[in-house]
Amino acid sequence: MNCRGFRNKVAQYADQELSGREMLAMQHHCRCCEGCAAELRREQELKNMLASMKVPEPSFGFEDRLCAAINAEGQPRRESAWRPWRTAAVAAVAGAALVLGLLRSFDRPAPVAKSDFIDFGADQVVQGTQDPFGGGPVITVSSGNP
Amino acid sequence: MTPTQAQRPDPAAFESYMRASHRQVYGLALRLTGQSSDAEDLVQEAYIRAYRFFFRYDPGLPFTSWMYRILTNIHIDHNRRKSRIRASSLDNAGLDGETVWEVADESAGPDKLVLEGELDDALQLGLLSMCSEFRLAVVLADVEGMAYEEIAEIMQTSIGTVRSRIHRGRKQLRRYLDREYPGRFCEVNV
Repeated sequence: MNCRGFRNKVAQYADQELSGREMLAMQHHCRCCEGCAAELRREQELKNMLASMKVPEPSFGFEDRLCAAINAEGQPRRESAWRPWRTAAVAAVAGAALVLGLLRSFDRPAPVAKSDFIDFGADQVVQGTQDPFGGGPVITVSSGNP
Repeated sequence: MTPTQAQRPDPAAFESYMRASHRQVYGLALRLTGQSSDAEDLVQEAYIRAYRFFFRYDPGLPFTSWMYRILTNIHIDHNRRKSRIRASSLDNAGLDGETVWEVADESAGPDKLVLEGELDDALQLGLLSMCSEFRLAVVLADVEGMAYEEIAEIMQTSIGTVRSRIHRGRKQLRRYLDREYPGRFCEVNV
């Protein structure tokens, strides 16, 4: 382990949130590197200071005010008995729609690219010319009846 | 379950949970808000919401963790709403020539009124200087002593995100102490 790796994981090491193998690697690096050992001490010192912060007390009578506010709410709600049924119904409808959609997609014939075929009626005249403005060929289809 | 089988939660049970946990919940609220009155408002709102949805509480899990989760959600919602209001007032104020700009003076905030010199005060000011997600992760880990997994559950995020927030949050706090109290916390220098 190098110093960069150590410093990236120093918080997890101080919190004992690493695996056993990683903890050992960190411990080993700490023994060899004075800078990283100091970094770990600073991390632990900060953690200790935060853990020893005094537990603040709420103002006098807060507990009673809290109770009064709760009592003013009346009875707590009860769980809607329809809720589990509603969830099951939504799941069933969604599942049915999915199955139906899959079945329909299997039944449908493969799409045919329209551009591959041009249908002409027996009474239509097809004339091919060159675009006078330098474009590609132009096919004109017109009714055979004058 | 049918409608007739629905259970109504017991208000007396809720009250006993509340009396046993409110000090701890208030402690977290104060660390997050930095002001006693804001913390009490936050705690009250959290308990009222918990009471309304008490039927969702699983008695097999610690009540305090459930309360922390509710309180955390409300706190994050408040912060988001505050930042939206501020952005909108900065965008729109003054266009009619009469609106008064209402931008907080950071240098005169309540944090400067707290007595300096005490370690707790310095740490509390440092916590308040952090962004709310980092502050919450650091408070839950170091003040409340929770494991990363529990914090991830409360903050409804991944363990990786919690890890990163704690790491960066502590760095921010150390920088703050080093900048505002140079030499006072020699072991905390970055």
